[in-house]
Amino acid sequence: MDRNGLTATSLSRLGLLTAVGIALHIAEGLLPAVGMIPGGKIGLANVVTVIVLFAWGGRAAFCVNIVRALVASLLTGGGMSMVYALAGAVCSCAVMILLSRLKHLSPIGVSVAGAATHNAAQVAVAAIILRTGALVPYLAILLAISCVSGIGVGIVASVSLNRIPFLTK
Amino acid sequence: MRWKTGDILVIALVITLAAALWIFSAAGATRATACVIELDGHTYATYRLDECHTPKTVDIRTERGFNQVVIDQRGAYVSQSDCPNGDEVKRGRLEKAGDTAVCLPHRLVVRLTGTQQVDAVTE
Repeated sequence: MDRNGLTATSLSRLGLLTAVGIALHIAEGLLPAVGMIPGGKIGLANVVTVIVLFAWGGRAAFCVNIVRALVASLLTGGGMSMVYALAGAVCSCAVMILLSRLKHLSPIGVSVAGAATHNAAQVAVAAIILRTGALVPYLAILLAISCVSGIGVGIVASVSLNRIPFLTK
Repeated sequence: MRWKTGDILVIALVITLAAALWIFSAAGATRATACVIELDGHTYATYRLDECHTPKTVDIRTERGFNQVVIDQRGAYVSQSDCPNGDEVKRGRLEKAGDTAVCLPHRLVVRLTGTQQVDAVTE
């Protein structure tokens, strides 16, 4: 173990999970948007972030999430899509890290909060770029979608954390 | 997998927020009277719906790309776009005041506006 407390085993597993996150992120981009709403996504890649957050902690989750968002948006869109991806990734990760410290929250609640923050941050960036307030109804629909998808993502992450041997503590 | 009490609280909070935003944005929902096209944060053009007896086709060509908007008496829709996802075309018809179609890559916003309908005024 080096002075950052990261073993070679951990590092390779985090790399593997980052790759899974990138693959999920891109795979999801191939699906049609949920309810034909731009930005209506399931947030599959968030499964990885939640897993890393609960198995390794906030710092690892933040790094994995940023790398995932950067690489995936470079591979798919580039340019502006990177700004949206990063805004969503940074804000949702920060909120999830804070909330994961609360005893009364399971990965499900943390994931819902992360999904909601992700959408709010992206709509905020879009509103700033477009200089319009006309996106408020979008945000309402996106928040409703993020509730459902956040629960799904949380359940998958939670089950993975209990079943995959190298993730259980 | 174990749910905890806080999970329900978070979910309730997000649903409440979504409902509040929805009600807030639908509060002024009325019949649309005009179609506003915004480009990069500025109003590009405004059309009164009641003046569009025959469907009016508006081509918007910028350095970012091409969009075509069709406006008629009942509303408007984005009929063509050369942006990669074409979400604003899939968005379909805009019919009520407040309905919006957005093309982020082209920084285009098409929205319907209307006059607020007031049921009663009290002082």
